[in-house]
Amino acid sequence: MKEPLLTVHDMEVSYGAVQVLFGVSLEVRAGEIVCIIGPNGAGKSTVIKAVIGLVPAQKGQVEFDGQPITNSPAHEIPALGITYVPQGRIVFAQMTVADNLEMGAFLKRDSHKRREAVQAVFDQFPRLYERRNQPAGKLSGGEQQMLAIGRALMMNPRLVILDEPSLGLSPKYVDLIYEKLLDLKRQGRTLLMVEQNAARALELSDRGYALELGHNRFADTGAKLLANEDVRRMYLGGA
Amino acid sequence: MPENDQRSISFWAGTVLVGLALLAPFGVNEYYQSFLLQVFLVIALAQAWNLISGMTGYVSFGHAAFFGVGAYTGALFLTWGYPWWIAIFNGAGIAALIAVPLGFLTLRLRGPYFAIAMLGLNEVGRIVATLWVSVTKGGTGLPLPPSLLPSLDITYFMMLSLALGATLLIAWVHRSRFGLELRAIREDEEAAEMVGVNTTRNKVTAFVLSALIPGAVGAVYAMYTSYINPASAFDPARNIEMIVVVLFGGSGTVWGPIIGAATVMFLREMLWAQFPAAHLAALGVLLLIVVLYLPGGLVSIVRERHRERPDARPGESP
Amino acid sequence: MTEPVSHPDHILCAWGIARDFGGVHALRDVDLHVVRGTITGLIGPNGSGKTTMFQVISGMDQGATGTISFDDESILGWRPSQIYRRGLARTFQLSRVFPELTVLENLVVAGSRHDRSVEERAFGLLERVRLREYAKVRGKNLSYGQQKLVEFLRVLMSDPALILLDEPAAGVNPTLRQTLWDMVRHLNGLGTTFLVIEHNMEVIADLCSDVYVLSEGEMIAHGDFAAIRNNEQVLEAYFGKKRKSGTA
Repeated sequence: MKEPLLTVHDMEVSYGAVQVLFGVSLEVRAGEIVCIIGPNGAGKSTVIKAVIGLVPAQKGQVEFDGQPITNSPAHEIPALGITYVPQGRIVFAQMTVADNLEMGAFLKRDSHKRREAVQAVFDQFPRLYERRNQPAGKLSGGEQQMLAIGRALMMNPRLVILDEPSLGLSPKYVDLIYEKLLDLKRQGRTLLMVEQNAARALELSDRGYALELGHNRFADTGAKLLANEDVRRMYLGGA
Repeated sequence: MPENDQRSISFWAGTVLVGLALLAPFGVNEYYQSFLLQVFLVIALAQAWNLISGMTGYVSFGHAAFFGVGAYTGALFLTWGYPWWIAIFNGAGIAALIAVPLGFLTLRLRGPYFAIAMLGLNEVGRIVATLWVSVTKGGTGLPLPPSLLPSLDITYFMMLSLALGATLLIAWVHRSRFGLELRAIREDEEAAEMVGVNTTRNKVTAFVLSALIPGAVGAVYAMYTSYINPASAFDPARNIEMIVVVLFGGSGTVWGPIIGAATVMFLREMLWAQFPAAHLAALGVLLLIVVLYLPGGLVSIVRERHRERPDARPGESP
Repeated sequence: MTEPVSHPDHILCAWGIARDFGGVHALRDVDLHVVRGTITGLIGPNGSGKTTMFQVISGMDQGATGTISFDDESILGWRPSQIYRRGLARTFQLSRVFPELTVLENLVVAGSRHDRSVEERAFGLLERVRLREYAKVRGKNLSYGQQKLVEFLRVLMSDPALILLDEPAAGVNPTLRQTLWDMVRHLNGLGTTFLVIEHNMEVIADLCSDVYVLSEGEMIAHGDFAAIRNNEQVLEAYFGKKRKSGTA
């Protein structure tokens, strides 16, 4: 069995006096799509924020490609090959689409390589190409989400982490984003995502982890979790 | 320092100062009397600004507009033959009257937008005064014949009264329910509305009161200088002066504007003699020092002795 | 849509509430009735419109259409301070204590202007939660949990008949959480009605006799929690819908 690309082991996180993660573990192997689902307050976003250094973990280890990266400063994470698509489509509204993408690759010194990377993203997302000179603030929600994902791809990362990619999008755009994620999967990209819309996430994912109130509850293939009635009931505190 | 002691000291200090101010004309020459008059002018304006900006949190960059309106109104009523006290009354009244609709309009704006809107108002005042030649004599200004003017002694006491009145008003507001509601608005306007504070009514009231005082002060100023024109009545520097004085002394407090006015005016006097060109720059430096190192103003030097902790229960450390 | 008729048992009646933010329908034709003396729950996944509903009811959002009747009086269009004075109060998800005001001032400003014993009332409330010694401490110097507690006390100052609680226990340690819920139960016993937004289903199950479920701006279910828990539509709302078959 392949060594996992990313492992999280027994992670504990507290915000001040309030503990939100009580020893959460997961792993992601290269080429997989793994999702983290669970009701509100489960700590899903907290797990990934702790992985990428936005939030300190009081206990636990994170390893990427065999190297420990626990509590690395957030700005060192992209250089390791991990990029992050935050919740809420954070784009630079005043900058053009093309400039936004370039911002995703500012670690690349070579401007020629940067342009190549921008072109690659445009090939993948023709809609973004159409709007390349428009300020990002004028794009629709779905297009902004595509832009955020495109920006995360600029560094050709080993792992892309997405925080609720479908949040606040109309059903039409949810379909579109998931189509794009499926494309990424076919290209062999590794994705770790947190999702509110558990059904769609599990359909797409190879494996999933279901968290409840800061604990691991279920871990299985996407298909099996989708079929598991207890997982559904967990959302209403029933299981 | 317990509250009651603080209040006693304030009261006695204030009484002593007022007493000195009342006696001053009998002891000092006209130059210093004029200087003191100007200090009172700045105090009164500063307290007015303090009310809407320091206490309510709506930082105005154009309050001199009301001063200008008061100056012209007062001057005009004098030239039309009315006694000086009617001139002052109307100066205040007209300023307050126009503040009502203006308040409803501008107080919808927040933060920087409100500040700039007020700045715009000052400019509008200046332009109206310049263009409405039939009434204001435009750019040439309004000279006031000396026969109509009260003596320096009288204008001195008028300005002192205004400074005192403005200060007492702020002191009263500070301790009143009205002042508490204003401060809540400053802290978090939406939350204040949610706990029953009618923010519109409170804001507009504060705004009108803060316009009334400069209106009166402007009228007295006209009588003191015996000549006003758009540039002197709507002087943008007067806006800056109000702000610097209050920030320097301590925004939102009762003594802040007084200490600030006195300090700034004295410093300016000394600097003017030595470095006439540099005194505005010196004001700028003062402002930087306050903003960077003393955000609470000079008053905070005294206040910060009183560190906040819960009252200890017997046998328990706070 | 049901006919807007006031029911004497309903302290709050909302009919046909619709709120549109530039094309996004945050609320569509929502009906909600809160029975006097109950603790009613309002649940739903993120973005379903729960907080928007609170904004509309409390008057902070003036852009909705429909009818809202509180204690037999139509309150749509009233300003928030009026609604508060009428007896309908609301707390926020994140603490909005006035930072530079003391705890006592925080409470007094929320009390009636004409009440001579408003300070006494404030001290009384502080006693109940053992915060009396903090009366002269400024809001910003309190811990987050203490701030939330003070914010809760603040709305009690006007003795409201109905309190809208927006995730009152969010971000608060377990002990304090218990204190808050105990107070809610206690006040409810004395007659105060509560409408609560909560994500913690245990609390909802434990406390609420009636539950409304919002999803994507629509009220999809209403009843006691046991029934809600097994409602297929509700489960789907929380868990998500699978894609329509036919797409790639």
